[in-house]
Amino acid sequence: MKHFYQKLVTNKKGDLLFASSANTVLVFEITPSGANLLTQWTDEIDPYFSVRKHHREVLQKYEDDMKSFSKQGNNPESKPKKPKMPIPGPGAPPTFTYIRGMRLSRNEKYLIILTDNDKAAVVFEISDKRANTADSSFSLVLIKRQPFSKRPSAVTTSLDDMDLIVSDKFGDVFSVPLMDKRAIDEKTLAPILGHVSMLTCIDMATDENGRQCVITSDRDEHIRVSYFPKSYVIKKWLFGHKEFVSSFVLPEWCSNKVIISAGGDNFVCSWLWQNNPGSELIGKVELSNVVEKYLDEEHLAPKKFQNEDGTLKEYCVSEIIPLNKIHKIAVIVEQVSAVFVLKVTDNGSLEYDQTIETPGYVIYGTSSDDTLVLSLVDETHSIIFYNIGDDGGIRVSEKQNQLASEIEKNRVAMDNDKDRVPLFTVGQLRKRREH
Amino acid sequence: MSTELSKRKRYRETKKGDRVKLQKLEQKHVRIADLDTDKPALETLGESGKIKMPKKRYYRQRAHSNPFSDHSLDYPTSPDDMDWTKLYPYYKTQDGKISKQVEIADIGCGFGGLTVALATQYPESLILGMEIRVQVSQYVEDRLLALRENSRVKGEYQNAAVIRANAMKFLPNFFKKGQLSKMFFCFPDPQFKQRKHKARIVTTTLLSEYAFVLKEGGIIYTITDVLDLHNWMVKHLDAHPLFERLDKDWEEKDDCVKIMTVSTEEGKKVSRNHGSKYIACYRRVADPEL
Repeated sequence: MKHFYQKLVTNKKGDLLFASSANTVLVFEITPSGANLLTQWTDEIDPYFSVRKHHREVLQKYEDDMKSFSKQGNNPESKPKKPKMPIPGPGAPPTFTYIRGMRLSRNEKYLIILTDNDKAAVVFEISDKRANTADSSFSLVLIKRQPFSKRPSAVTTSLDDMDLIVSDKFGDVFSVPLMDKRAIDEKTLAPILGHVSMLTCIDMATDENGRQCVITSDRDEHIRVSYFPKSYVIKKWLFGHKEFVSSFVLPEWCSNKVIISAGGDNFVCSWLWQNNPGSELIGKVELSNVVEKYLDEEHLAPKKFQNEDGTLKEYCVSEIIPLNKIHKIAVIVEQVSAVFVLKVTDNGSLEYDQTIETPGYVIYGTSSDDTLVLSLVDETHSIIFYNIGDDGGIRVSEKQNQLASEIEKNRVAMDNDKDRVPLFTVGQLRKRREH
Repeated sequence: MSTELSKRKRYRETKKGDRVKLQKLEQKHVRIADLDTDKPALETLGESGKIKMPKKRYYRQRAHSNPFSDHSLDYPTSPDDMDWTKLYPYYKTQDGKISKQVEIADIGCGFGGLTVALATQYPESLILGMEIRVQVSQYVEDRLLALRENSRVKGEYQNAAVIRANAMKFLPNFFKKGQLSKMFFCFPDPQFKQRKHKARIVTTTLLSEYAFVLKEGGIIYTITDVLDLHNWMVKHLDAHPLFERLDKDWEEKDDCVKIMTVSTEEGKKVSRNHGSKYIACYRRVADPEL
């Protein structure tokens, strides 16, 4: 049994594919004749890292208390209790060591991954010496492992690639130097901005006056635009979503003017985000009529929130992939065996284009100019390459078999089904309002 | 205990009936009466023909509410979608719009002592109390409703209203950039535990949102009886580049400082117990060069 690929990233040229399967990052070279594994890196961290770290802390506190206790002259009433330090037993909820986020720096020289277990962002320098015939090596050089006090949810880099910008599940955003090899103690890090809500996506762009902005989206329907680095000055919010926002993109061909966002709503929004406050939302495409036929029992709302007939189905968009060459975006809906392609004009108007059916649920995807790569829940087709033609057509690549076989083969093995890392977690963000 | 609870519940049910009759509105949280000449028969009408003031003891609720949980709240999608005329019907214009904008926000207004006092102090400004606890916000609503109905001067207390809201999450859904001139944080929940500190209402990250809705020169008022929380708020406000502290002289001359010290319910309680009150006020300065 093998893990599926939960995250994929390709470079702009499309000749490198970074794929993460459970706790391993694999780098493939994509050539006209097929894919070759260049290198791989496995996160060997202790699965009980955070538990043991917590134990060290309580033990330290206990020892400190004991020291001051013996100095005080042994009043038995104030004797500190020895802390209990249980390691989770077999019945405990499973802990996973897996890669929950991955992206390239803007100059494509660094790979950044987010780990689940120790709540860190790991930075690699991509050392590509394939052109050098004497050496011809390719490797990922670990620069640093920057821990955070709360689990990181999304990552980006500043426009000049000097800073690593990480958002966490507690709603805070941190900025640390990208290339500095020293990791900063997470307790001394101060957030550059914060929401009182789980952050889901983060990116940077320049506004109409050429000033750098950091854009963050959260579980409370908000998309916030703040200036950078003076991120305590908020530019605006983009209002219009009714449910959580899971993902947004700034398509290249719209030259920074347009944001496309989606999440728990049954629609995709497009915004001219630099416009006057209140008139930013310019496009909204309803997905229900095209998504509905792909929904199954996995999408039924939980019993408590179900309607009387038991037919209420909920779905959400987990990811948006820009397709630069043809000025379209591919929308991934969680646990659906298809992706939905929408047309986006330069000024942000949005229109449904086509549906591409897939052999299994789509987990994640990435795109270069000429290819769209999707990872799927399907034992025989866990990865699919699509060619983006000059005519705008999106077709399965003629080289699909050569390309996919090598990548499929390298999926990380797992002992049993329980070790499967969570693949579909975005739906859980839906708010169940009570009281 | 159970009979006591049911008595409280019964009382609130009666009050709710009155509220609905007065408003002829069935919105769950956003409601405050129209000026109605045909008064419906009310359950809690006193002998003098006036509405009895609500009794606080029937609305008590535990002091803490988790600001991170998904309450069922009513909030507008954006400030433009907010129908303020429901809250301030007196200021409704011919074309159904509101003639004034809310300028003063009492965040975590509790039982509404300050909101009510500000209403008469600033009769020309609209004042909004925001409270996250359902029953407490209902009390303030009933209180304002009774005050409006019973006021001898027409229009008195029409400039004050309350909503149940989570200001930490949804403040920008209500107010536009630079809309407010004063924000009050009176006796906020101290959230003593270290791990609860993010739940405190004044943090450097949240202050950026408050700075967004405050106009330049607008003022943040804070008061608390917990020294630790006072120091925390001062530390965070001092650290924020968009706020500067106002000195003791200013505090002594300001009317609002006086009002918030003596007329909030918590303030009165602290005075009764001879507790200390710590005050810190900050002015919103201009945005820096970006």
